[in-house]
Amino acid sequence: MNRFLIFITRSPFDSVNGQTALSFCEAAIDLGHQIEQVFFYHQGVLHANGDIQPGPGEKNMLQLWTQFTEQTKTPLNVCVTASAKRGVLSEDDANMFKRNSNIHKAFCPVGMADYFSALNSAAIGNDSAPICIQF
Amino acid sequence: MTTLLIISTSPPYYNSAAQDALEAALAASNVGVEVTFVFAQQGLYQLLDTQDSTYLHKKSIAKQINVMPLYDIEAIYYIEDDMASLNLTSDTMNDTASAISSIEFSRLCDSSAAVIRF
Repeated sequence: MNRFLIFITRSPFDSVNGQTALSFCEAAIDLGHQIEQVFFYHQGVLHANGDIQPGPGEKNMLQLWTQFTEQTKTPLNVCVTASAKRGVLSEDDANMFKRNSNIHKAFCPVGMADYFSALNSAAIGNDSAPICIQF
Repeated sequence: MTTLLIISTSPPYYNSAAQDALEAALAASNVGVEVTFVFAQQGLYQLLDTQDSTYLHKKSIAKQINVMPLYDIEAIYYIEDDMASLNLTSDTMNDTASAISSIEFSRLCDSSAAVIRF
């Protein structure tokens, strides 16, 4: 069994990377592998915007990610700094800027250290090295 | 300690990729990841000494690159072939980064535990 750390840096509107990443995650889990976390950074943080309203007939990535994390309990982590810059606000940021939070509840706002600490975990502990894949 | 290769391929102020690549590098180094940073393709424009972000009201990419060694990121390179493709010369490049060949770059890709490209 392999452990995967997924890193998504493209927006849901300008690429199919998120969709490809989700397909990869589903296939990997079906084959008995573990997706340790999906981390959204750079333009990828837009996946976590709870206010996204896809047009009629368009794929709703937010709904698909929500179903995925509910079914597999895979953490969906979002870089809190990169998301605040793009108007996707966590509860803490929303309180600070006196705005409404719009990070969807399926996503967890975290610092980048969460991702890189997981990447480093194999070097510190005795685990097998996780495989980092960027979409 | 695991090894991470970050490849930065965007010009300095064209979009947010250059800034986000640098922030990712600092975050990784901060938790003990051994970071190698490579400027490739149009990312080499980030290394031009003459850049000035004052007009754009953005953080200077050049200044952030200069302080990377203070954050334990000392393996900073640019691809020599890309420099030639862009008609740049080594005397106009930031001294913080060193030139590597495409073959050395391939070796870095092979030997790093993780690779992230911006």
